[in-house]
Amino acid sequence: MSPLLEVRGLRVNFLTDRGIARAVDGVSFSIESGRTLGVVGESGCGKSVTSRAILRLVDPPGWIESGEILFAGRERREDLVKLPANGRRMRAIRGGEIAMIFQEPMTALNPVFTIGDQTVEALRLHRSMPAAEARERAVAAFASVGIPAPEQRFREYPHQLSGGMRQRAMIAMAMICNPQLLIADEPTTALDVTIQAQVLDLMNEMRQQFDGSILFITHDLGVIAGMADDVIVMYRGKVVESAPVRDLFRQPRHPYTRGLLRSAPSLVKGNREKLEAIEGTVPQPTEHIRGCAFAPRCAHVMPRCRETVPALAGGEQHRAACFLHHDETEEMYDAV
Amino acid sequence: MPRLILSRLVFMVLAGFLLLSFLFALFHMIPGDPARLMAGDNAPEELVQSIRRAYGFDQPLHVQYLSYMQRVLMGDFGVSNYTRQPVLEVVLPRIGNTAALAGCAMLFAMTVSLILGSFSAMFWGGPVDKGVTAFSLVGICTPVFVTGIIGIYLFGVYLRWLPIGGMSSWQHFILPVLTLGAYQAAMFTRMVRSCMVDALGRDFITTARAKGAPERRVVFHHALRNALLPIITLFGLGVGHTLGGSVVTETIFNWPGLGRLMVDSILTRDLPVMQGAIFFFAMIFILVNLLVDILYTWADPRVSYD
Amino acid sequence: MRKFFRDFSRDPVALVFGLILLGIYIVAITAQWIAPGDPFETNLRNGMQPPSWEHWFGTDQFGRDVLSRVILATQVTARLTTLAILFAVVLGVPIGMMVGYHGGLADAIVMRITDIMLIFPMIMLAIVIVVIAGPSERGVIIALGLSQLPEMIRISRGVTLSLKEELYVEAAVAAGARWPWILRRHVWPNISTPIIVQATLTLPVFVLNASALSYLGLGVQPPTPEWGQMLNEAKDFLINAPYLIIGPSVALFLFVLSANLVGDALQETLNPRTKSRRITRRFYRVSRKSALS
Repeated sequence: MSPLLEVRGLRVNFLTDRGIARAVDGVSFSIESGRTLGVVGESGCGKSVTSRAILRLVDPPGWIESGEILFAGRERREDLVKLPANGRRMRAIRGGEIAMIFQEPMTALNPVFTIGDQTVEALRLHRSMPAAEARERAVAAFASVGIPAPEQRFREYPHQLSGGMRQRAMIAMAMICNPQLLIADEPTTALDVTIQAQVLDLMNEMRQQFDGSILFITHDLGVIAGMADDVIVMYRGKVVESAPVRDLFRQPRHPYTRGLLRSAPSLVKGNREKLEAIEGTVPQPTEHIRGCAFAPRCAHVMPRCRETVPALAGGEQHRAACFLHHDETEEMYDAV
Repeated sequence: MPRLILSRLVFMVLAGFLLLSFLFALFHMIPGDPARLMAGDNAPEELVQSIRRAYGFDQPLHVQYLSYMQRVLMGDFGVSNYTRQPVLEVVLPRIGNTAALAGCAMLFAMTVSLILGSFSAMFWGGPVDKGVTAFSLVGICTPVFVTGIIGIYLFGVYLRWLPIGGMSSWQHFILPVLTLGAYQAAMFTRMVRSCMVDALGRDFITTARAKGAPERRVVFHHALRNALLPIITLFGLGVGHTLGGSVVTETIFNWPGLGRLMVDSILTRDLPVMQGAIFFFAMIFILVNLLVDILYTWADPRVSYD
Repeated sequence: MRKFFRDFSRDPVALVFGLILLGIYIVAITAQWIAPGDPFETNLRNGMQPPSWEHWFGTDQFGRDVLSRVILATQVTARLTTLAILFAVVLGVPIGMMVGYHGGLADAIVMRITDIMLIFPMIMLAIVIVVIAGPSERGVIIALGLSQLPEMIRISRGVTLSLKEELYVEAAVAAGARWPWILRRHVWPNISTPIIVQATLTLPVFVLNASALSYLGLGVQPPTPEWGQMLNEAKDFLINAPYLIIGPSVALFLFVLSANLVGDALQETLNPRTKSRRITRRFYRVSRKSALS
């Protein structure tokens, strides 16, 4: 059976003051039906742009340079890159078959419409139904994401809701057409820690009930550990490691993944002094780097790292883009 | 909401009072003897004397001020130096004529600018956008009286399609309204475009697109409704500009409006008419400001709660 | 400053119109010498001549050479607007800096007054000034200057307020510096850029309004030539001599257009927020070459 979504060699470029930035530079991954794929990386690594590219929502000054986004929709499997970005089919997919939740619920909701209107809009764009029925469905959706007094909230504007409530409304809005794929772009980053936990619980609950797949984007490894089935780690527009979530946390292969794990406070148990930061900074996206993009910051850098770009390789399930793992050198690495 | 309207009404009354006081002061700031000015340069000394007594110009200032305020509050702005008609009778019908001209011009400008500005922002950077931008640039660089004269020459003198002065039929409206409206339309289009470009760059636009909303709906429902907040302020300021521009337009097309009355009364030194015209003209601005404030609370749900 | 000129010269439209504007000012300064005829000399027998080699824009009802009058009017307009801008800056900036620095009651009063002034359009203010001062060039200068005063006060007050919080200004206060010194030394250098931008953006508005006032007969008085006033006279001869409107209209349009474009370009280069526009322009050139976009 083919996966629900398969991305192959996706490249997205942006034009900046300093030249062309390769925000997404040959990314490939796939999501099976019913699974949750976590995408991890620092800000600016291209994870958000990737998610927007799937929905063909890359705004100028960015554009999709090349690649395939194969989506097994309700009717047939098709390449989203080949569809017109604002055509009828693409619009039917957006919200109807692939829905999205954004990072900042304050700015992602339209301030001049009630959240009820905005939710009903999401429904009626895809299903023709009388206004009263749409309204009922929306209120039911609000109730199902744990919004108290949904009837009353229905008539309220985004600024009248707390951050957590806004994000719940966003989730209700995304889920109302029962999509096959939900893209969640850092859905908890902008929230307070306690609210974060609540929204994550909600998302986990949704995930259990929901038979579709989730693409979960975050920079927080702790969140990934609780949410995802599989994980890809991105660095400077490339996938550097891809593994089932358990394997990634037990045996991280890429030095960058190891660095991320060591610098995540929620994952280092007990001894706090072990918390480390990764040396150096992410190079400018317009800067061209020969060889592995992580080489300038890598503690295990070898001469060949600066010459050629390592391919994503390894087993069927756990793969890393690092020369340390290309020639069965895992033992050697562990000894270091 | 009612509290806001009330406070603005209080402001309006206060502004009107200040305005009257200012006009009174103005009367006395004008170089020369007011009685002599009113009588005319060649009037005999007896007439000047009688005017001085009749208007109380020989009284102390505060007495003059009080009696002036009293008269004005009773609706007595005096009589015109020339026609001897009560000022109120001269001014009031003019207000309607100016409102008709400025209103039509505003409607024209708002419609044109909302359409052109939105499409320009929708096709941002493309040929449509460039064309609209060039049009509006030429528009804001051509003063009303140049457009008006060219219009008169083309449609009135050369083609003889349209009347060029007065306001006795609907055809009389076309040239003045287009002249005044075109300038405002150019100005508004620029600003509507930048408001729309700004609104289209917001996060909720991506949300709307991600819901599958067609571009038409994204632009004219989600973005326009948000851009409306700054646009309403803009149009409110635009009413002021339009009224200001109507002074020139009325002069070009012999339009019997308040603006031309004001200019004529200055050129003929008809002080009572001038006072009345300036007072009502200024009060219109204050009223328009009030209306814009009220409109704004309607357009932005956040204002009434914060 | 060098960076400014480099940015400016990269924008060909701004460069061309910058040169045109420069040309207009050169014409204004040298008007007396380059005018082909005497702008005041009347010759009734030679009246209302259509454009010819001798008189490019024709002659008016008194037989005066329109081109010479347009050229002299350039000088009148340039002088008028420059003085009006100076008036607004010289009066507005010190007031704005003082009330911004000291705050308190004076600040509140000044800001209320500017609020009220901003309700009324320039023409209203101008008419009142003309009533007091009489229709004249001086009246126009005062009216234009006063109309821009609230804006100048607001800008300089805003900059002063934000600078007051800066550490180095607080340090200077702590070191015992008195306010005139602080305003001159620390605040003024930061105000000059926004004031220059504002003055440039004001210029086309002033040109338009000065000629509108003169068109109404409330500004520059004949026989001194002014574009608006010339158009007012030309309007009466539209049937027999429509060419009389060409000279003043073109001059007015060109001056306002180039001043507008230069103002926009200046704002774009001096204000980093608007800089992204240039990138988007380039984006369309680059992305169209790519197969997908």
